[in-house]
Order: sequence, then C-alpha cells, then structure tokens
Amino acid sequence: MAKEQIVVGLEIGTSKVAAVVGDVRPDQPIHILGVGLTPSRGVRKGEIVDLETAARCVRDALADAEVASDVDIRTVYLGIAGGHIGSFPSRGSVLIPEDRGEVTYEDIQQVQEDARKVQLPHDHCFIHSVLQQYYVDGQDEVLNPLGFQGSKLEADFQIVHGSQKRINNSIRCVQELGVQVTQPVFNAVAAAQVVLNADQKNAGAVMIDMGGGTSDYIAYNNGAVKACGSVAIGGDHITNDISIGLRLPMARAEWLKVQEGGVLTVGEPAAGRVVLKPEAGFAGCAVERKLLNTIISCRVRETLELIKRELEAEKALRYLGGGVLLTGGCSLLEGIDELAGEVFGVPVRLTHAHAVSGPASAFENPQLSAAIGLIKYAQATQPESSKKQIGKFFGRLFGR
Amino acid sequence: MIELTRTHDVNSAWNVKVLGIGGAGSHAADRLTKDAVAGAEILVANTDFRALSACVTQERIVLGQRLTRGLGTGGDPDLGRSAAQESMGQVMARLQGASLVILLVGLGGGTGSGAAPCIAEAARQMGAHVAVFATLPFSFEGRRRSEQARDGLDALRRHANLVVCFENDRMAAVADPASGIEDAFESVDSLLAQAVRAVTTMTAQKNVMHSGLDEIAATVAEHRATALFGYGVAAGEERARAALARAFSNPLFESEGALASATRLWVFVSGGSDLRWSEVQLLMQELTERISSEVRVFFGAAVDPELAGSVSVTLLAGIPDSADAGARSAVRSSRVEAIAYSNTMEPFAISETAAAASLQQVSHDREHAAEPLGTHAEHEQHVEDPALEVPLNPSEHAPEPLASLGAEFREMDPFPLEEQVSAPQRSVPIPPYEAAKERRESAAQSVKRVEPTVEPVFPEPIADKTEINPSRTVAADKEADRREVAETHAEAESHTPPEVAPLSAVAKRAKDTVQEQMRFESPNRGGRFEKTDPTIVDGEDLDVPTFMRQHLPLE
Repeated sequence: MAKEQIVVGLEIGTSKVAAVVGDVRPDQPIHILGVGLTPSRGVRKGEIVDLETAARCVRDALADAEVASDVDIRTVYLGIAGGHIGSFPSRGSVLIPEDRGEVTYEDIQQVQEDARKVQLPHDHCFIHSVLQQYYVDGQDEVLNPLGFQGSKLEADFQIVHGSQKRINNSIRCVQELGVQVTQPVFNAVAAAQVVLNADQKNAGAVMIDMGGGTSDYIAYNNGAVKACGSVAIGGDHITNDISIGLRLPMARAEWLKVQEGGVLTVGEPAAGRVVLKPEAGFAGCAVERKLLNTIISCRVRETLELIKRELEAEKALRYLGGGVLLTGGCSLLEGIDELAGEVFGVPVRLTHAHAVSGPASAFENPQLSAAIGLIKYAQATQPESSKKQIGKFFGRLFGR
Repeated sequence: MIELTRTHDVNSAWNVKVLGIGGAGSHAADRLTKDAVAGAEILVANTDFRALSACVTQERIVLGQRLTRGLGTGGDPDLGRSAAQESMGQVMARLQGASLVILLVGLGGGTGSGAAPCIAEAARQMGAHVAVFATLPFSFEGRRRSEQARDGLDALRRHANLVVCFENDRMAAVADPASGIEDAFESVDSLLAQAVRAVTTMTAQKNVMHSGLDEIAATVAEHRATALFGYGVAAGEERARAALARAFSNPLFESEGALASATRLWVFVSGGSDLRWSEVQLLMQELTERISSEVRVFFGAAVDPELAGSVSVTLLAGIPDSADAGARSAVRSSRVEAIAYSNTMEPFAISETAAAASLQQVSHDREHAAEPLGTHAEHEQHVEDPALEVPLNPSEHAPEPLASLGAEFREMDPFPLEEQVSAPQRSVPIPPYEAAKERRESAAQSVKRVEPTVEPVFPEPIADKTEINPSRTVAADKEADRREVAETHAEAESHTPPEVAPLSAVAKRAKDTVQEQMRFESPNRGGRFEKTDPTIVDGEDLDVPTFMRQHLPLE
C-alpha cells in the first residue's frame, strides 16, 4: 500500500533555515519534492534569541519550500539542537508475570516507560528515548523481544533531553505561522537516519554534524545509539574568531572562511595570502592564508576534541568500524577530514544525505542532512496501517 | 575635505636642463632624447668632437676646443677640468635660467671625472639645484680608472645637491648576459634615463615638492652609501603588488640579503588618476613586511596621467657601504658633520623669516608624528617615478624641513625625518620659492588642524624578524621611540573601528589584549554571542575565540 504521504522537515538553524518537503512511501527511498533554504537571523548557537526575526526567516523558508514542491505545508517535523541537549543511558526493566511467560507488546511499552523514570535536569523534558537493546532474562542483543520466553524484560535506552523552554520557543516560533509541529526531533538523530547506513551503524560509527551554531554528534555501536549530544560551537564561532583575530567585519570574515578558509596550516593550501578588495566601509587588506587557517583549525580542533571527550566519557569510541562521518556546513572546510582524522585517530569521511531521491542539489548539500533526516525519521516512525507492527516497532525504537 | 589649490605661478620659473658630460654622459643623454622626456631640455658636452657630432642630441657644447683640439682628454681628469674651465662661459650661457641642472656623467675617464665637478660647481653658483647621475666604471677597467672615478665622485659630492651612483658592475646584472654589449650598455643608459625621468617628474611643474631633491638626497644617503634601485611597473589586477614584486626582482635591487642591510628606503609610487589609496596602502604594507624594522621608510606618490591604468613603483634603498670602516660611527659623525658643514657651505642668503617659519613647522610636525596617510587620500601626492640611488653625502645639505605642501606630505610620513629635529639648519632654498613656501606652509597648517587622529596605517614590520643589522644608530633608536609613541597612540584608540589594521599590528595587539582582557564570561565574548548563555566547559567560556584562550602566537 504505497500511500503517498507528504512530510516536511524543518530545521531552524543558526546559519540557515531549511524546510524540506518529501514524499514518503514505506520501504522506498524518500523523494524530495522541494527545498526552501533561507539565511537565518535571530538564531545563535542553535537557539532562537530573536523570535520575530527567526519567525520571518522560517516563514520565508516554508514559503520557498511550498513554491518549490507545490504543497501546502501544515505540519512539520521540527529539528532541535543546542548546547542544552544532553543524553544519558537508562535502563528500564519490567517483570513478566509467570503465567504469561512471554513478552508482549505491552511489556515493551512498559519497559520504555520504566526507563523514563529518571531524573532529568531542571527544566528539561524528554525528546527521545532511543532504544539500544533489549535483554530478556539477561540475554543481550535482543532486537525484537516480542514473543520471547522469559521472566524479565529489560532495555537500554539512550534518553535524549533538552531544555523545555528552548524547545517550546522553537515550537512557538513555528506555530505562530500557522504550522503545527508534529514532533520535535534532535538534529543528530534525524541526520543519522540519512547519513549513516545500516552497515556503518552495525560496525560502529560516529556522525558529526558541524553546523553554523552547533556541532551535533551521534555515535552508534553495534547498530544502536551509544551516545549523542550537541556542542554549542559551530561555524559562527569560526567566523567570530576570524573576525576578532583579523579585525574584519563579520560579513567579510564569513566570506573569507567560506571562500578561502581551510584547516590546513602547512604546505600548499596554507601558502600565500588573500587580498580582500576594498569596498564601502572597508578599506581592503591582505590576509595570510596560514594565519587564517591557523585560527580556523584552532577552533575546529578544539571543537572536535570536545566532542571526542564527550564520546569517550560515554565509552562510545571503542568500536568504530565505520569510522567518523562529518556533515554539516563546516564539513566543507578544506582539510577538515584530515584534522578530524588526527583528532579521532580513525578514518574520517565527509558525507551528506543518502538513500533519497530527488534533485541532487537538494540532498548533496551537507547543510541539509538534518532537515532531510527529519523526513526519514518521520518515515521510520510513522505507524503504517498494513505494517502496523513494524511501524510500532520502529516507533518504539525511537521512543514515540 | 579641504581642497588645496596649488599655486602655479611660482612654478613658472622652474626649468630643468639635462647635460650629458663626456662619452658615457652623452650616450645617456641621447637615450633621454630618444625617449623624448618631457619637461627638460637636453644638452651634451664633450671634449671629443667626433663623439659629440655622433650624438642624437642637437644641443652640443664642445669643451676645451683649444686645449684638446676636439680630440678628447685621453682619460686624464686634469685635462678634463681644464677643458671645462676653458669653456665654462659657454656652458654657463647654455645653462642659464635653469632651476635644476641634471648632469649625466660616466666617471673614470677624463671628461666626466674632470669636467663634471667644475660644471656642477658653476651651476650651483649660478643658483640652480644640481643633480648628478654618475656611473662608476667596471672593476675590470683597472684601478686607475676606479680611483679617478672615486675622486671625481668626491668632487661632485662637494658641489651637487644630489649625486646618484650607478655601479657598472652591478648594472651588468641588468642586462641579459646573452645580449650583445651594445644592448647591455643601452640598458644601462635606459636605467639612467629612468632615474632622470624620476627627478624631472619629481620636480616638475605639477608637483609642489621641489625640496624633494634635497630631501631624498639627505635622507636616503648615508656617508658614502651605495643604494639599491628597483623599478617595476604593472597594470591590471593587483597591479600595485605586481609592480612592487617587479621592483623587488629588478636585478639592481639584488637579493633580499642586501636589502636586509638597508637602512633607509625610499618608495615612489605613481599611477594614473585611477590610482587608489587602498592599492598604495596594500603595497606599503607588503613592503614593510619585507624589510627590517629598523629601516626608515620614506614614501612619495604622485599621479602621472600618462600612467593611466598602470602603477609604477620605484624603490631606492640606502645601504651603508660595508667597505667603509666603522660605517655606523661614520654615519653618526657625518650627521654631526652635516650640521656644521652646511652652515659654512651655503653660498646663498637665507631669509630669516623663511628659516623661522620652517623651524616652527618642524616642531609642529613633530607633534603630529603619527598622522595617518589615510586622511589624505584625496590629495594628489608627489611621485618620484624611478627611485634614485642616492649615495648622498649629507654634508651637502640638511634637508629642507617641510616647508612646502610637501609638508602635508611629511605629516603623513609615519617615520618623519629625524633631521628635522636635529638639524634645524636650512638647506638652500632658491629665493623665488620662499614666498611660495610660506604660502604653502600656512595652507598646510590649516590642513593639519582638521585631521582626525586615526591609527597610523603603515604596519610595523614583524617584530620578531631580526635582520642582519644588529647595531642600531642613534637615528634608529629615536625612530623606534617615535614608533612606540605612535603605537601607544594607536592602542589608545583601538576602540575606534579600525578599518584596516595591518596584520602584524593586529596580532601584536591581539596578544596584548589577551593578556589584559582575558576574563571568563567577559563582555568581550564577541558581540555575536551576547544574547546567549555562555558555553562554559572546564571553566572556559568557549565563545571567546580559541586562539585567544590558547594564547596562540599569531604571526
């Protein structure tokens, strides 16, 4: 039953607002109908600081997406990011009554709720409970315990939580435009849907989405989410560093970063200088490429090392057969894969959304990984009438 | 912006005559004639009649016709001198009315080495400025010629305002080794011609900086210094930098090593009316990065309509002659010498008012030592097109302190002449110009009051770049002090938005501010992140730039 369904993923990012309209059919790659991409104002470090301005940008993005896809947008899946997002593991357990002796759907529901009985930081709310694995009577690596014989069902979840206030801000921003938010989704979780394939998830992989305001990361071990989180440092910080370090206005610093910047400080990419032509309000200057790259690489290295520390704390870096995958706007910096390779000690690849169909320009842009991922997430969590069980299962997987 | 009107009536008397003396000199003069240098009358003088008649230049003077019977001096300077004295009346008659006399001479032989100093002296007495462009013989020509050349050079230095030396040995590098000898000499001639064009342009009608001659002379030269001359011209994109690169790669400008021992550097930039100030700034920035921080840089610029679309850069670097024993102390003593000397040397009367006025000017400008160039973008600057090698003997003349609108120029100079302070002596103003000077002084005065103080534009050369000259002169010390003053000015004003802060200055300032202002959760996080919560990790505010928190030494 290939019922066509339109899903819209909306990411209110720091550098851009992306609205992606996709056609979702079960068991088929999602088809992108249209993309609305506008520069974002009023968002810093992944959080909305100016509601009015941000709302205007969101409206523009949604309008562009509507025009591009010829669809009226009523509901969206909203991507959430920000330094306030955290995650920790939690185990839930439920006892199976002896007379029944086997695991039922209700047990699975219950174990998830049990896992949620944890103390969240003040003012935080649940975003996801991401299933890692089930245990039935101590037997681990159980993917689907339905029908298992046993007396005790346990499950490891990764609880993803975030600041209630900030999430509400984002939701309100969208609602003011007359659009409903179906569900807030953590950006990294969403992006991982389209950036990592099953093999990589099984082998163990880390995906880092370095965007304008935040760097979101998610680590898979043995096919399950081992750790995820968000660091409130992104391309904006790089631009700010350049602006302060080279005494340039932000716009020029941004241009410099995008057009000429990289993270390599030795060799040919770091040679020479960039001449900025004078224009209104700016007298022009010459910038040593090596200096520019030093500033950038300093910041990028620090950010990556911070992420590495967070992952190590969760013991998520042990089995990384799939290596590290970089996406997001910052992944376009020349040489960043080398730098990340140095930091993490494993091969690093630059990547973007896969397993989608549609205009290549839409999904090959690493900035859109999260927005497209939202659609994939929606597909994965949508309850399907004909495949209800599996749909529910996936739903449980993501803690719906 | 205050519009400055140039008073042209004064310049009507300005008259340049170029005289090529001797064989080499006539060849060089012929080069000029062929190139049709505007604004100057070209003459040649020789003892050798045949050589003279072979000249392209029409205006010819035979020297010592009775003495040598038109056969030349045979390489004897004494003969040359006598010949010149015999024909002095004729020479002076032809040079009459010139305000600037440029002598082209090849030293080492008879006519050049013997006659030129006499003619220079006479021209000086006539009341003209005298600039001499001399070539020194190849070393293979033998010691005798070298000695005669040196003697002639010394004699010339005593009389001329400006003596520019081109060593033939060095100039051999100018010519392509595969080219024929005629081509080689021709390229030498064209260099001389370029140099002459420089002087004529610099002192030409449309420029007001007549005193530039003395200024270059005194300030670029050290006692018996040699100089590096580089010339580059380029058009199109990034022409300023390309021209600078070409000037640097000019064979006469030698290697970086030689440049490293330069103590002074004169930069002339000229372009068409489309020459942009930002290009000039960029160029100067790049230039000062290439040279030692102890080098004193003097800057001249002008608009030459014929150069529309291109930019030409001329460099002239003064290098103390290493052959001179104790060159440094010699410099010091020579400067002292200069003060004493010029007092006695002056054959002209100096009007007291002019002297007093310029003295005032000197002290006034001292205060404004660090005026930026940026504010003067609209004014035409003065160009010296080719740089002149100016191994000048400063004993000839103290520099004429900022008396003209060149004063406006001098303000812009972030490295003002030290001589202004220590040598309040007058140089030799040509009487007709005094009035003009005073007029310009008052104009310049009013200009100065309007200027806002902005950071000096020229970057300090990289601080840790230690060049090969460890010894510092009194001059360099004072200059360093002055620079520090300028720096503190700059730092005090660093909150005004600096449009173009040169890199090294920025880095330096960044380092300084890091030490002072490094506070966690400080307001200095960068306005970008003001409305958000600081991201504190391990006690550090990550919104503060990483390179600042890690105290990275930014070069």
